[in-house]
Amino acid sequence: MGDCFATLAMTSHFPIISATFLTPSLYYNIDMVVHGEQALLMRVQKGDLDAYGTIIQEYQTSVFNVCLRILGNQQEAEDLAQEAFLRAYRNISHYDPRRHFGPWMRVLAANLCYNHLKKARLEGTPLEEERHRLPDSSQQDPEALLELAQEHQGLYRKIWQLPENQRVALELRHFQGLSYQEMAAALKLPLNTVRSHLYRARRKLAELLEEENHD
Amino acid sequence: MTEKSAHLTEDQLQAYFDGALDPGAARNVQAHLASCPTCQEAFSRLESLAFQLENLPEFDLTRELAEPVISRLRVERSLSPGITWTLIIEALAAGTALGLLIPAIRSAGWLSGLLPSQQALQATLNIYLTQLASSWLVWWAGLRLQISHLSQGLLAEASQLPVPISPWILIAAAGGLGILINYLLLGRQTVSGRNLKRR
Repeated sequence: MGDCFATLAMTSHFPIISATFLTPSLYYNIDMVVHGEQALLMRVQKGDLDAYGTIIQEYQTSVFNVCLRILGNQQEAEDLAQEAFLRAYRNISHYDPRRHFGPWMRVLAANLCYNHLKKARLEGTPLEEERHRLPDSSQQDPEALLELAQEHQGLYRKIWQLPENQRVALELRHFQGLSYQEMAAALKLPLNTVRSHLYRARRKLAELLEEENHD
Repeated sequence: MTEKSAHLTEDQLQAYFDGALDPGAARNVQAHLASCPTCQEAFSRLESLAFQLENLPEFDLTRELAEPVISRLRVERSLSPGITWTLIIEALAAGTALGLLIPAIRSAGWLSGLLPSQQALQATLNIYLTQLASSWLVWWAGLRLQISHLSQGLLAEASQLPVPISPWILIAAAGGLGILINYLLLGRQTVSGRNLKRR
C-alpha cells in the first residue's frame, strides 16, 4: 500500500496528491526510494536535516530494538535510541558513506546503551527488577504481542539478567554479526576481554534456559 | 582436545562456532565433532541458542523519533551552545576592556608628551570605540545569535545549570553593557568637547 502511494507520488502527474495527502512518514520513504541511502547520507553530511529525517525513519525501529535488548526498558530504550541518532548526526563526519549506515548506527547505539548501563551501575541507580519489562502492550496489537511475549519473554528476561558487558557482547555478536576484532574495537576493550564476555554470556544463558526447562 | 581430555572444551566449541579458529584447529574440531556424540550435542545446544537469539522478534516503537531529533538538531544548529557561551564571554570581555581602556588612556600621563593633544585624541578615540562597540553589539545580537531562537537554546542550556538563568537576563545584561559603554564614552566625549571649547 505504501509503495503504491510512493510510486504515485513520485510521478510528476500527481503533484497535488504528493503535496496534500501523504503523511510525513510516507514522504520520508519516498525520499529514500528516490534518492537512495548513499546520496541521502552525503546530503546529511552537508547538513541536510530533512535527509537525516528520512534516515531516522528507516532505522529507528532497528536502533530502538538494539537499545531495548540491552536496556530492557521501553521508555529508556526510546530515549537512548533518540540520543543515539543525535550523537550519530554530531559525529556524521566520521562516517564513511560508502559503508552501510545501519550497522554503524546500531553499533553506536549499542555502545551508548552499554556506557549508559555502566554509568548507572557505578552511580548505583539501576533497579534491575523494575527495569526489565517488555514494551507496553497497550501501544501495540494486543493479540500479537501476547503471543510474542509468551513465546519470547523468557528469553528476553534471561538476556536482561546478564551483566551489561555480557549483554552487549551478545548484541554485537549475535544481532550485529561483528567479529571479535570488531567487537573489541567498538567497545574499546581488549579482544580477549570481549571474547570472555561473549563466552560467559552464552554459558550463563544456556544455564538459565536449562534451569527453566527443569522447572 | 588431547588424549587426556576426551572432549572439546566449551571455549573451543564457541570459537569454532564463531569461525575464530585457525584452519588447522578448525579441522581438528570438525574431525572430533564428527566422531563424538557428546560434543556434537554440546555444539547443537550452542547452535540452538544462537538460533533462538537471532530469531527474537522485534518490538515497535510507541513514538516517532525523527521529529524530536530533527527539531533538537535545528535548535542546536541555530544556536550552538559552545559558540553562544563563547560569544557571551567575548561580549563581556570586550565590554570590560572598552570600559577600562578610556580611563587607562586618560591616566597615562606620558601620552601627552607624545601627542599634541590628549583630549583631542580621546575625543576621536571615544567616537571610534563607541561606534565599534555599538556596531559589534548589534552584529553580535542581531546577526549571529538569531534572537528568535536564542530563548529556546539558552533555556535548554540554562535548565542544565545549577541556578536557572533566564535568557532575557543575559540579553538585558548585554544590552545594558552596551548602553553603559555608550554612556561612558559619549559622556566623556561631551566633557572632552566642552573642555576643548573652554580652551
